[in-house]
Amino acid sequence: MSMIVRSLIVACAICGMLDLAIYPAAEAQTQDHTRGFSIARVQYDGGGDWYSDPSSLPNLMAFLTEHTTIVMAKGPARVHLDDEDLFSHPYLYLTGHGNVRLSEPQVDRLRHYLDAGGFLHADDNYGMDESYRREMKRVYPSKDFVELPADHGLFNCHFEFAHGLPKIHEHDGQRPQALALFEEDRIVVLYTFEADLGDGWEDAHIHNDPEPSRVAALQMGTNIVVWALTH
Amino acid sequence: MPLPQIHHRLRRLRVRFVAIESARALLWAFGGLMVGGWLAAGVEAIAYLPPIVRLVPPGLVVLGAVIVAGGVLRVGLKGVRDTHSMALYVEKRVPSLRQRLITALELDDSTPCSEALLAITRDEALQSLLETSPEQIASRRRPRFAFWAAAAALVITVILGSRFPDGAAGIAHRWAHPTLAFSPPQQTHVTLEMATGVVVAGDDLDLHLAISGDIPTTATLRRRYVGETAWLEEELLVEERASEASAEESGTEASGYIRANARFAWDDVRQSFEVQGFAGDGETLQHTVKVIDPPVVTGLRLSFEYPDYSGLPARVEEEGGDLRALAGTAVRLEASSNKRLGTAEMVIDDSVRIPAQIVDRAAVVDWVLPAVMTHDARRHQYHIHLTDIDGIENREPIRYAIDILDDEVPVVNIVNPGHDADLPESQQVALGIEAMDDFGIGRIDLVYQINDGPPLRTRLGSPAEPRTSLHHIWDLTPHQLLPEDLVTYHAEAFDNDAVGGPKKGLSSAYTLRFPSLYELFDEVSIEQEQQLETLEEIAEQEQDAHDLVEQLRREVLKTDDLSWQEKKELDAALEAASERAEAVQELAREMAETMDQLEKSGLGSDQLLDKMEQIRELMAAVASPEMQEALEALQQAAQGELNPQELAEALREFQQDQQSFQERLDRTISLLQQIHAEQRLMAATEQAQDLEERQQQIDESLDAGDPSDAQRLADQEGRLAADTDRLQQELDELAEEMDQIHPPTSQGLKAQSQMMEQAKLNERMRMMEQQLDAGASQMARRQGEGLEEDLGRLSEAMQELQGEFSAGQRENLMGAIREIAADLLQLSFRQERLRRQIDTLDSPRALLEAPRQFALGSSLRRSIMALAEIGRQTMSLHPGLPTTLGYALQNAEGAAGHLSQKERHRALELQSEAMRRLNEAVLMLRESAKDLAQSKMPSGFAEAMERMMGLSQQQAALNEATQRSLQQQGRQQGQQGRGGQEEMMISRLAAEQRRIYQALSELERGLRGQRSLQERVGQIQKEMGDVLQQLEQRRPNQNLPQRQQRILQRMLDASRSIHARGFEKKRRSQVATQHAMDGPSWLPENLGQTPDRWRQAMGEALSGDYPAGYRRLVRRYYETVYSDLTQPEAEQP
Repeated sequence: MSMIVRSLIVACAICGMLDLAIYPAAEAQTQDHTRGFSIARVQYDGGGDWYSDPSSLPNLMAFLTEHTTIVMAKGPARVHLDDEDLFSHPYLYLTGHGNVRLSEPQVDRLRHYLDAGGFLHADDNYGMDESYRREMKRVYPSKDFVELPADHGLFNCHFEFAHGLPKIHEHDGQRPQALALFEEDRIVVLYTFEADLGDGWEDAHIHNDPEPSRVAALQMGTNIVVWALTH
Repeated sequence: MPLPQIHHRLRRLRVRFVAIESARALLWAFGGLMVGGWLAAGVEAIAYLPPIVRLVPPGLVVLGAVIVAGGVLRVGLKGVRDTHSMALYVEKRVPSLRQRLITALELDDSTPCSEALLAITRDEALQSLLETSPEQIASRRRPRFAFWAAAAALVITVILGSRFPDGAAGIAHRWAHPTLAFSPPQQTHVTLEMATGVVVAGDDLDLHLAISGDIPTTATLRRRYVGETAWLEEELLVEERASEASAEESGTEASGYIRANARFAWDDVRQSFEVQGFAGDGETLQHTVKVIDPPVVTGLRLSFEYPDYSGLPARVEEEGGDLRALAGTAVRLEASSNKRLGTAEMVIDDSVRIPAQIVDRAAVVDWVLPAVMTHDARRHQYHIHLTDIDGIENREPIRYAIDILDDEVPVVNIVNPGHDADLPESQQVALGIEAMDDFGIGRIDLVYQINDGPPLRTRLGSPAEPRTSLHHIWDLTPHQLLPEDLVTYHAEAFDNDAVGGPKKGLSSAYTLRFPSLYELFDEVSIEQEQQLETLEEIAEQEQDAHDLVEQLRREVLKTDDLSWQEKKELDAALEAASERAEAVQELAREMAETMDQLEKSGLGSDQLLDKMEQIRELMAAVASPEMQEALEALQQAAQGELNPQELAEALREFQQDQQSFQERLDRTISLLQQIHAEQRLMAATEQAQDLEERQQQIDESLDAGDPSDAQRLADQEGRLAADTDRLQQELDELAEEMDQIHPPTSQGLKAQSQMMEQAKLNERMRMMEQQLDAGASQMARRQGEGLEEDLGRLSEAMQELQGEFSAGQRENLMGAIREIAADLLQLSFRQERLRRQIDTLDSPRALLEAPRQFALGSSLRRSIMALAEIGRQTMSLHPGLPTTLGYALQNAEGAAGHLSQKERHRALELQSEAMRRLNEAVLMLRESAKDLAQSKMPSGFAEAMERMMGLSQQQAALNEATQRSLQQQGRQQGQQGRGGQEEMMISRLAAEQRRIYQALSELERGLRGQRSLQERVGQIQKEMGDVLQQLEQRRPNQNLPQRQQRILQRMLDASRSIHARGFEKKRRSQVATQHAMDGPSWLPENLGQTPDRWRQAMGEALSGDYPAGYRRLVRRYYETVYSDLTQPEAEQP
């Protein structure tokens, strides 16, 4: 069963990339998230604002369309961990400022999803760190977050980040960290902490981030997507 | 007796004659036989006679030969049948006998003649006969012709036989087997040509069919493996030979006879086979080709013994091949073969051959991987060359790669600070260094250079581990750095390569700059002035906006409406107000950065920083949430359908908020101006002190008397003169600024500026510079002494000025504390009086006094709030004050509540308790005032910082002692258990750690009110508690020094940031600044995954064939156990 699900997810990812050869770019622009690659925002419980940075994912997907050959869907998807179609989304994105809480079935389902080849990018928008770590410990009790060094492939698979994860937004004055949970040697969960990439992906006027910061955030987001789809 | 002699003689002659004639007859018969044989062979060759008649021709030939011999003999012997005829033949051949011989023979004794005559006749005959040569009678030359004829026939026969050997042999074969039937002669003759009948398996084999006679276009080769019955047929193309010459060149036999051939190339022959060729009607004999196996390597065992320095254990690859090992590794190759070996060798790059030792079917080679090959860019390979005892070599041996691993150069990174930085005031830099090598780091050095001086080197550690993270507090104070000095540094890591020598890895080079006070101050001062200017501009704009809103409000009240133009103006004003609020917030953020700069550079006193923090908070609160809400409401009202009443109300509310905004802004500006002046005063004091120290250093250098140093000292003196000039200007400007704030200080500053002018400090310094340039050291020295004294006086005077200024501030604080103490005392008296009064009343009447008790509680609450405000400015307040006053308030308010409920007795108890608490609080306040008076700075943060620094130093010493102790234990491990001495050492370490722990706890308690800092110290304390427990339980391990080092790092961080008060825990969102990359240099080997043995166990348990219900029970059991085990871990922060 696990192999079948894994195969489906990988097939979805590959189809997303191969669509370029099948569909003209203009046509691809009009597709919904069932055609082409889409990032699925995780709608979680616990009270946290899972919906924060609403313009971030559309902007990131537009950037991906412009700078990669991945054919993107029209817009991002939204998914509950209980949803039937969870396994049709190869790439999940989770963010927020508040509490994250997963039910027991959701914990099992997320573990199953990740073990089967799925990928979760969690971006700390400041404030969800404690609850998020707690919930991920429930998902993978025997795994610890590992900080990726600056020379890891994630930082140069598409765009070059010589100094590792860029810092986009300041909160506590801490350095940014790219933390990962590994399943064997595959990154299944990436947690970008104290970087606030999502703010950088948002429309320019929302946080008034300087353009280089926004571009760096989008480029880093591209790297994450490319890495997830190719590993 | 002559007659017998004559007979005898004649018989002999006859024998001779017969012999010669017989020989002649035989020679003729032989010749005839030869010629007849040709004819018979020719007949046989042409006719292939059947068995019945096959021997007829040769028989006839033989018969003919016999006849010829008989005929010749008969003719030859015709006249010599007996002695008499012989005598006649002799008489005929020898006429000189004149019938005497016949006569002698014919005259016998009976013949009537004289005996004498007879005798004489006989004698004469005998005599003549004896005198006659036999050669004359029977010449040996007579068969000469026959001989030559026979010889010629023989020669021709030999020539023909050699010319047509097959044909002759075939004819002979057929004649020899007269009863066998033979086929008629073939038109095509074909023979199979092979180099050898034995082939080595895997070799290629060329099979040639040599064809003569009729040449067909194709030939067929038939082959089959030995033991099999089915034939495989190959059709071959027949190629005619171009010429005789080419046939000869090809080396085939019977050139000139074979006219064509066909070739079959058989690659990779693996099995013995039989083969036969066919061409036209001809066919070859069936041949058998035997295939034998060559020797092959059936197994290759590699044993590696790595160089000692690598620390790698010996390793064996049973089915080895490629050689991948470090240079210097001893490798043993053991190749086993399928055959007994004669010789073997390891061939490297087809050039170097290393003979192997042969043991039956195995070959053993010992080889040490040379380091030199690692510098050769080519790819190296080797193969095993075998020769068996029959001399057969292995075919196409497998070529394996030789990959001599170069011991990698260590990688070293300075992760902290990890960027160019200014040197902190303490001149101590916390270095974080990570190094990695494939086989272990030998040592790590810090290499640095001060300005253009020689490189200096400090050993940081010799970890001997492949990966290490090292923390080091680099103290640069011994180098007596001067402002503007530049320290360039990098880390060098050496590995432990004992074969090729230690290799060195370098980190990036960074710089530490010792900024001058002037630079720092200028930088900060400019920023502050800009902030002030911005604030003042905002204040002016706010005033204009206020006027506009007032005008609009009146307009709305008057006309119940606003014109389009007015609406636009209102929109613009609201937009501008929003922007101004944002600008103030931005200024607050900038101010925080300014404070950071001040703190790092040591330019800001604790008191100053406290005030700045207040102002920063004030600025952050200038644009209050209420104002923001009012602004939004007004914007909505202006954009929507205007309700004049609502709009007027919104304008009024906004105006009120605007008013308070304006007031807060004014207060902020005022405070900022004051702070700016204070800060300038402090900087000027520092600068004066700095000038004195620099002059002192120059003078000391002159005392040292190094002539080569004169130029450097002259430059320093020149810079000193310039800085002195700047300080004087600064004093003048500061005096003007201080005139508004603190006139006595302003007067003092002016006095000092005049002193500098009168003392002509600048001119004297310039003169000293020239003297140093001219080499007049003695004069310069005297000049320097005077300057040092004057600068010393200036520095003292400035410190006094600052002290007076600070004392004023401290007095203010102490005054406030005394005032609150007096208030509390007064409240205590009031409480006592009220209690006495109530004690005399009954409950209903006591109820009437409840409002007084409520009022007393309210007064106490105000005093507590005032005290809390003071508490934000100083740490000298007694830690127990908040609790004590909290109880006092609780009791006072509780008493009021009980009075209102007519519970007089209970109210009296609480009133007594409130009095007691108030009196305690007064005592605590007096104690606090006393502490404040004794502290260096009013805030008391300096003391806290000093204590933390002191504890840090103690922790550093303890860390070193722990490390030494563990190393010593490590050396003794394995020899014997932990001895009593080690136990005592650990006990001492534990005692020391406990002492530091207690001191830290005390410090943590003293930080009450500084929540964030208290939390940080609390975290350090917690970790220290774990370390302490480890030591006290006598189970230190190798992780202990790392944990202690981490504690030290945190303590140093805490002492640095002990000024970082007022940190807002709430979300602050702002554009990020650049951060140094001080993350890890590599991923951990386990990638953060620990074996989940419980889940594995559960998986194994569930893999059994159990009923569903039982499986659920098994799962529940394991998950419960697992949950119990992981819960504490998961709850950890």
